[in-house]
Amino acid sequence: MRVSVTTPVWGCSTDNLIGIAKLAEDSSIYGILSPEVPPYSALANASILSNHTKETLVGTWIANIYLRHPVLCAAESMTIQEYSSDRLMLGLGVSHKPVNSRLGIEMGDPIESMRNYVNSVRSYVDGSSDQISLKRKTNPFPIYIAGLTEKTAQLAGEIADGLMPYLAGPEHLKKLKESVLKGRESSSLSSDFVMTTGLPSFISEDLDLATEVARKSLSGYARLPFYQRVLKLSGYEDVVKSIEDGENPAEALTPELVNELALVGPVSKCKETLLKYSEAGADMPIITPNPVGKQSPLEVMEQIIQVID
Amino acid sequence: MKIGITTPIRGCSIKELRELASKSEQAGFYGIFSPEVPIYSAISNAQVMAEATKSIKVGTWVTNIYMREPIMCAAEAMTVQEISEGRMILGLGNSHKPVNDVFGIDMGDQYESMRDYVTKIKSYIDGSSEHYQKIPIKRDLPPFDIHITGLTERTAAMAGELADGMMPYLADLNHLKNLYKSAKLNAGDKKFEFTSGLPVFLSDNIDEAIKAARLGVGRQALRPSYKRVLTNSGFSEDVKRLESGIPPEEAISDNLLSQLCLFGKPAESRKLLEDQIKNGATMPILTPFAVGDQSPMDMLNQLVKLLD
Repeated sequence: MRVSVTTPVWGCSTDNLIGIAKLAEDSSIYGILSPEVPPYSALANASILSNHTKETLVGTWIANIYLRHPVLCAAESMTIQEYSSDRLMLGLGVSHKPVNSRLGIEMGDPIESMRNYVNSVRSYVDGSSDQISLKRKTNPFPIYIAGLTEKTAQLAGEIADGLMPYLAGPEHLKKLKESVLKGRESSSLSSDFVMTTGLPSFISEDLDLATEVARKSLSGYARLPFYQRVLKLSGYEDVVKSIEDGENPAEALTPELVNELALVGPVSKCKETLLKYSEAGADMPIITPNPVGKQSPLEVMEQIIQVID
Repeated sequence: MKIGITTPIRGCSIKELRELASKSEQAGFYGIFSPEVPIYSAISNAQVMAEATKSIKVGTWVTNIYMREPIMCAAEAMTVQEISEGRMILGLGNSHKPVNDVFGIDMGDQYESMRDYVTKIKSYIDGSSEHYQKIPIKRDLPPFDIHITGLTERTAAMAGELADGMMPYLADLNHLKNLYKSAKLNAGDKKFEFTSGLPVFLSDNIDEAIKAARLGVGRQALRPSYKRVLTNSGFSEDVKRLESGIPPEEAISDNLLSQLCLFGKPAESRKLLEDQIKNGATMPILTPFAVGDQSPMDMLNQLVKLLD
């Protein structure tokens, strides 16, 4: 099973980033990917990761398409592809309305925006766009898109090389995979499609503590409309309803929910959860590290490596 | 004397970028800056150069403000500032209408767009932005200098007011004096970098160097903002000849070349550089163009001879 890991969602120093990259390189981690919560850039982080690894894949999980013009996204990605000798995975997403609104960004139709963006990036990379006079010779890289619903999964099947859902339960993941196959039928792409799944991790021998930290940490996501939708689609309508009715998300998220959608507790239990997602069709689980107690970013990464190895 | 250089305007490989940065540092240049012509990213290039060097300043000359949201520009520049341990200089510009039109970008009011962009970037760097009330993840980094292009007295004045430096290009000594004066009025006593971009065509083969210079400047001269700076520098006749369809080899005058470019043998090309420094340029920035089939490293080797 290929398992990838993200760097901390809320960012970390470049020294920590380099340390994490080195740990990943010395382990069986398949790829190391950077989230993009401003003021951090996923592509700038991926560039650092590529400079401190030789074999581990590097990439983004997930760059917000509204923050860069597609030609700039292509340019920065091509630099990383060249720098890393072809180890880039570009993950693209639309982020979230509250986040984009705060930055004054009008999202338009997110599905069509994503379709146009991916097609534009590809045309800049393969040189087919007539907008650019300079050509760079770099090998193409896989483009993954974030997708939480069957509609976006179908789009991924049509235009992308992989799908990056997050907080999707095993049953919902199966449905997403079916939609990907449907989209693939009308696709001109011939790449092997990679179904990933984002799994937050809260690894600790103290299961109760890990569960409580998970409930609190994931509560922020539960306030965002896209994630509320995926929680509903994963069978947690009641939980979302109670949040919509005003309950504090940290209290509304049940121990059952976080234990199903995240890697929570001792290493052996997390291994079992990981296996469930593999059996549900995840070709590449992507683990998102979260500290339990006072774990440093490097300590969290060491715990994740124990789960994977 | 602080002298900066740029990497090739039309890009180069990552391997060449690292070698250019490393050799520039060894040669004693003050800074090395990346232009931003799609499909290259100036900030990504600056990051690559930061990782290949230890003491030379690295930066952009200049990043197009319409290509990234200001928060992303701030984020990427902060990463370069962090990995370079404080050596980042962020040069910002509006690019050119014909370029932005191709990419479907509406430039709006260029002047106000730049003001808004710089103000926002500063607020993301110093943590004063309202953004941080919702996302409390601040990066504890020393601020880096922000330069803005200033081809007119109005934009030079804005640079003096808002920025830490200005980056004019293709301005003759008289126009440069006026630009510096406008910036200085608003900059007051604060530390401010008066740079000046100089296209450079160095070769022992004078005829080839002159030919390359006419072509190089001629290709840039018809962009609206460069037309304006050339006109303000007294070269309206050269512009008119180009506009009428006369090829650059004939349209660009000897006078323009001698007042705006370094060309020919390095040892004999320093006068303009010295004159600019005498007239207030605190950091000339040399932009190398290939003469004949010069490689990026060949061009740098020629630039290094200017320091001898």
